[in-house]
Amino acid sequence: MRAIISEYKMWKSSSFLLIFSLIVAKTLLFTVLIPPWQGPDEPLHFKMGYVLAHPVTDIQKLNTDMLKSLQQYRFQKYTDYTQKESVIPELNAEKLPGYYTILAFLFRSFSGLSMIGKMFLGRLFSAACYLGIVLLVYRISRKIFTGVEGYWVPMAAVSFVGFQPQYSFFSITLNSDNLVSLLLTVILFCIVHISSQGQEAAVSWIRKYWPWLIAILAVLVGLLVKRTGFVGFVLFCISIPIVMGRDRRSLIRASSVAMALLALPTFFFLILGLTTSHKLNMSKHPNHTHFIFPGLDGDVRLTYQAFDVDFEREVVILLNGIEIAHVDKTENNKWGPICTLILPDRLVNDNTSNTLTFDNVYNPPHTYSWGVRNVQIGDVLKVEEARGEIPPSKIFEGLKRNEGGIVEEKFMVSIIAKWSARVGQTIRQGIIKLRDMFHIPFYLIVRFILVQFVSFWFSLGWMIYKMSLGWYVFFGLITLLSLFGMTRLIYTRFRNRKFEFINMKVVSLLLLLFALSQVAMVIAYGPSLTSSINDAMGRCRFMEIGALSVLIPLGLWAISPARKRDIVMKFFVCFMIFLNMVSVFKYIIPIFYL
Amino acid sequence: MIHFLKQNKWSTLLAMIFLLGSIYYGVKIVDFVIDHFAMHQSILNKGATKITKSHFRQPEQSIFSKDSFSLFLENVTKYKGGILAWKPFYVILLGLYLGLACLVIIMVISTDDSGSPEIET
Repeated sequence: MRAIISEYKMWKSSSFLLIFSLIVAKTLLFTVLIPPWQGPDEPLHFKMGYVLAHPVTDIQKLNTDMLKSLQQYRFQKYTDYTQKESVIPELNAEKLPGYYTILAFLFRSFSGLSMIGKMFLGRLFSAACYLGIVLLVYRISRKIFTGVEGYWVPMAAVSFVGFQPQYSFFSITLNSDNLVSLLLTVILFCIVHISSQGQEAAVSWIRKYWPWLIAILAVLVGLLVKRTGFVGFVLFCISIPIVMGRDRRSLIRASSVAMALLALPTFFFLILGLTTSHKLNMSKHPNHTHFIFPGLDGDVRLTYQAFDVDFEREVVILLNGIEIAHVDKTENNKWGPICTLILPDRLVNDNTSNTLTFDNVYNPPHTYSWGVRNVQIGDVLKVEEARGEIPPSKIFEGLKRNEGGIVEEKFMVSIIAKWSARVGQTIRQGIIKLRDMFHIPFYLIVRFILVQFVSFWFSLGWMIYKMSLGWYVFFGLITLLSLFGMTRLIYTRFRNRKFEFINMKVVSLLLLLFALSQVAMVIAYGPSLTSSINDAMGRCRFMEIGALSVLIPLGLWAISPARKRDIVMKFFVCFMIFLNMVSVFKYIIPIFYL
Repeated sequence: MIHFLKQNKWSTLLAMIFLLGSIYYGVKIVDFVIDHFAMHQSILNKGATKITKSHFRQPEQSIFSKDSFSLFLENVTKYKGGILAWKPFYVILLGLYLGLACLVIIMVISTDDSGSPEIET
């Protein structure tokens, strides 16, 4: 008997080990197979980490090196970017520093590596975060079933997180979202662990409190990494009554603690943010862009092209800090015509350099996409000579972009100030746009959901390349079946007292993370829904991957006929592996390398 | 059905391959139907919700030919240094990935529904 049990245990662990080995091999494959810079915002995240690692970096040289590398790896071929001005991202001082501090530490530790070597180093860090998520998902999903039922559900959960095509791609790219996903999964795991501990007999002090300590640490780190880290804080607070409330008295006590924990910092940041963010100059959009040209005598002709300007006074042009004009509206998501503007002599410095600024005054950070290119300074006389036709402009050698100094000045200033500015900013923006949110046309909501759904499952090359439409029909079927399954599970559990071997506390914690992520999505992207569809990125859903990867197979398990549940789960495991192979051989390799 | 599948692992393996193949070709049929019949009449073809074929651009090349594979190895190692510039590295990785994938599928099929191995009696 003992031999059979030990063989059973060995086999049980070896099943997982084999799947995990495949996930490790796949992770390594994706890390080297996805061309450099192809991850969403990968150039920006790399640049932020690099500049923090090397504070005296010559920004112009870094931009030149990055541009060369981007061109080598045919970045523009796979993306919507068409001009070099848009390709190299500007440093964003409003980003929280947690992730970039880790990146900078890695870059400094391996300072001998080339730029591409450092980029792959950053990717390996993301891959490590991802493998941590896989292990945690396995542990979390094993806590759902209290009996011997549902052995294949954890395997299916691991297969989902391990082989979902888009997450396989995204999880190895250099992006702060990967760290947030890990931290949220760590918090979820700790809470699940605490809730299942409550059913056991007396445990030692260390065993009792280590999950609390790790969860608190993960919450704090999460708050330093990204705004979405706030979801972890709320999850932690709301979970307290769920895991601690065993009777009415303890439930009231735990709820009070949770409410206080939740309310105090939120109001602190809110009040501080509303009162001080404008003083910190953080409510202003950082995407202004400066150009410098040498002193000139007489009127000067400026030519430029603008991208996706939606409003009359969205982008203003300033010369040496004085507003001189605004950029005309362009078609949505398109470059407008070449525009010409005469800069009057009285505003142009004759002997000292001049600073030309294009400033998007409408923009809270990253809400509206826009851009300028072909910015050139020419001689007015040539325009007159050409009788209204625009000749090729003379480009002064001194005309260059200037974005240095932002990181050094603001990046590490005050995390509390950043948080308060961000909370204040989000709420202020939310209030302003609230009325718009109630008037969002139905087709926009449909489109938003569809774009999100498609890009959640598979969308490469900055959302250009997708699988064929038939696959998404199939993914839709899986999602709907899972949704019905979860509804059935919850309904029958509470109505008919079935599924009693399922730990509903764990399920409710998973649903809580899922629900909080939806609320975060609405707060973060709801206001911009009317103006920009670019925010409908499925990758935003990956912060809840720890919950989704368990809930989707669990829903499928619950909706299957009782006798066929394990076969369905086994099939789901094989299907996810097959899907991953299709994504590699039919899509990733041909798209990037053939 | 379950009894049959449990008794014969090869049948299970073939059934699984058949099912996965059916999905693959089923998707192609759905693509064809959407492309030729549904795309023009769907509500998704109107206004801002318009969905066109260009949204689902498909790669034309296939890796399953000798020339394509050589081209892939050529391109994937370009501009890279160290082990990343070594072509056999990618062949080994792809082989490992494929081999382990097949092994996992076989393991899944040969393990019984409770996760324990089937013991011959």
